[in-house]
Amino acid sequence: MRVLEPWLREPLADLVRESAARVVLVMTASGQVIAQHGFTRSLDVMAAAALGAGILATTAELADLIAPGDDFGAVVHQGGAQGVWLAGFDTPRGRWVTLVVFGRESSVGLVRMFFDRFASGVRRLAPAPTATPELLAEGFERELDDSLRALFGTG
Amino acid sequence: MARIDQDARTLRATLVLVGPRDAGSSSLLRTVRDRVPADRRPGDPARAGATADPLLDWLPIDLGTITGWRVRVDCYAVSSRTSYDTTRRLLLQEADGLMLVLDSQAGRLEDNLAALRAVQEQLLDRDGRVRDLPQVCCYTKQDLPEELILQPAALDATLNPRGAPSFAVRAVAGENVLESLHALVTLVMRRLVAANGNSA
Repeated sequence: MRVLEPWLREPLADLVRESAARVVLVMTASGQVIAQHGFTRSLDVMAAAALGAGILATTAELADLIAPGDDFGAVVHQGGAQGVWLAGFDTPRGRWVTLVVFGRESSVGLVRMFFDRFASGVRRLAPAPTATPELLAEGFERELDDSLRALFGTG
Repeated sequence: MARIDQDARTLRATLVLVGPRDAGSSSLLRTVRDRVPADRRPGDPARAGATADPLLDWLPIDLGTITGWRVRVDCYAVSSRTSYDTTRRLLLQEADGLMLVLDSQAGRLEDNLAALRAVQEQLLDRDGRVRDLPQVCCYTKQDLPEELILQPAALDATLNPRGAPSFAVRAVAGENVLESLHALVTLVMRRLVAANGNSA
């Protein structure tokens, strides 16, 4: 299990244990990975995060087209041996997305129940974002320009 | 939309190449791919031996560590086919900067204008306002015979009313391709830095 911020470890561990999830990925709505469990290769994580965020964004657009105002909170794909649960939820840090892969030892209902608990835990534990973002360092543009010249060979 | 992670000190921005069909956005992105070393293209699908998707090409570029921040841009070239309108709309909603890839041929002026109108329409937010994004204009096919093309000044007069930086591009030869990307990255990052309260 890997988490970007330590406070996430406990609610994520609860979700994995209680729902018998095989794989869990927590990301921002734009696909930036925040925590993961069960992945073995970093490339898998990146691809899953991009696809998961994309699927949920597309579903939200579709929902807006066919049922404006209605909330399509989760997407479930049920395969023969494994299922995928994909759902978004609001946190003090903005909207996050969770992808859960589960096997026959679990079920959609079980995942839904413990996902709701996980989302509540995150909302309760997440530190509020800092009111003013930390300033980027002075000289950023100058260093950026140097880096671009070196990388692109531009004069 | 740019992703700024204060804790991990990473900054990631999305650049979208748009323009009329066959104006050369895919060739332009291919030229960038050819000239940026593989180790600076983390996750590039073409790096793993896959053929670039001609309908939605994606090129991630690691710009290195700038004043302690890991900076990366994701460049997308999306097909101008009508069937890709939704994809283009979604990408434009996420975009931090636009590279307008416009065909220099005199006979394609109307196509350029139609493409620009479509982009404006797709940049409308839910309140009906056009998102104001940093942009550069790339006038492609400047290597064609003079009698077939318009010169950059004439193209600017018609296609670039807001006076964005413009470049006469010969995509295959690679002329002005990386220069235009350099300019766009600078504009995008300048805006992001300003939005984060820096005076740099």
